Amino acid sequence: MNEWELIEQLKQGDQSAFKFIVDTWKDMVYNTALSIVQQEEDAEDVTQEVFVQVYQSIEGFKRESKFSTWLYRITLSKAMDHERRKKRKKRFAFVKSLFGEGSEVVVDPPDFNHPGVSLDNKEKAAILFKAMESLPDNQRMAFVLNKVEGLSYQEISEVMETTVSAVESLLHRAKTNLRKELKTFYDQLKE
Amino acid sequence: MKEKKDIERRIEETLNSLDGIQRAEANPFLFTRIQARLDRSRSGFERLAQIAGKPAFAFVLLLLVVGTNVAVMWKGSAEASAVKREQTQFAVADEYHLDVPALYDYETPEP
Repeated sequence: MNEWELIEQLKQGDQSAFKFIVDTWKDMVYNTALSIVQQEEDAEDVTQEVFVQVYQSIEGFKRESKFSTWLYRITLSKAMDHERRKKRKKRFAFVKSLFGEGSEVVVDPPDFNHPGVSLDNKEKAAILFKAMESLPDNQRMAFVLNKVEGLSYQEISEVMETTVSAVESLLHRAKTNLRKELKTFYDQLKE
Repeated sequence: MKEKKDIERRIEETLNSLDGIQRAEANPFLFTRIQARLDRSRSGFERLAQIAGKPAFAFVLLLLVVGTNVAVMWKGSAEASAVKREQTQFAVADEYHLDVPALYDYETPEP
């Protein structure tokens, strides 16, 4: 059964088609979400939200792009929303603590270790993931799609609805910013 | 100089640390959890429909609609009577020439 037949079946409310879609694309969605939110529980939550959205808005899916492209868009949007909510919560807790209200402090989670990174790269990858948090949203999304999901510039441009040259520029700026961030980190380590 | 080169090397190694990364695997029970979530959201809609179907809800809604209508009508009639009052005042003023003459109403004697 091809992608379009599956989608047509899902549009008719076929549960087995939906299960097949979840089973086929769950790792792709989870891996992308995990690389952005950097916490396993949160990534699972985002993955669930993505497939609920797929189920509820499949009627609106047109054949203008590949299904996986549409899925990447929803995943990135949900994951970035999650990040924004987290930042807002952190800011709110900080302001609250300034006024002496509430003693609970939002603790930063320990370094994130992606389960797919080889053992000898674990430490460096954790440093890189931390540095990625400082990137602007677009650069971060492009970097994750390229480095973690292994998408080509063309595929990234389709997901992000932009041109290939814009993706090249985004990735170039992302690497420059990461270099700066890592330099500061290693300089501090020397001191 | 050596230190600078060392930092440069570590930065490059860090940037390349994701090469050959494998995909993280999602929970094998993900589909069951998604279904439970969908059921919850469906039951949310159903709860909303149940509330909307109750006579008390219908009564409150009816009161709200009637109240809005009465308020609009009352405001409209108040505005209409204000306009009517003004028209009467102008008519009386015209009838008895009660208008205050403006400066340019006086005829200026020609030299």
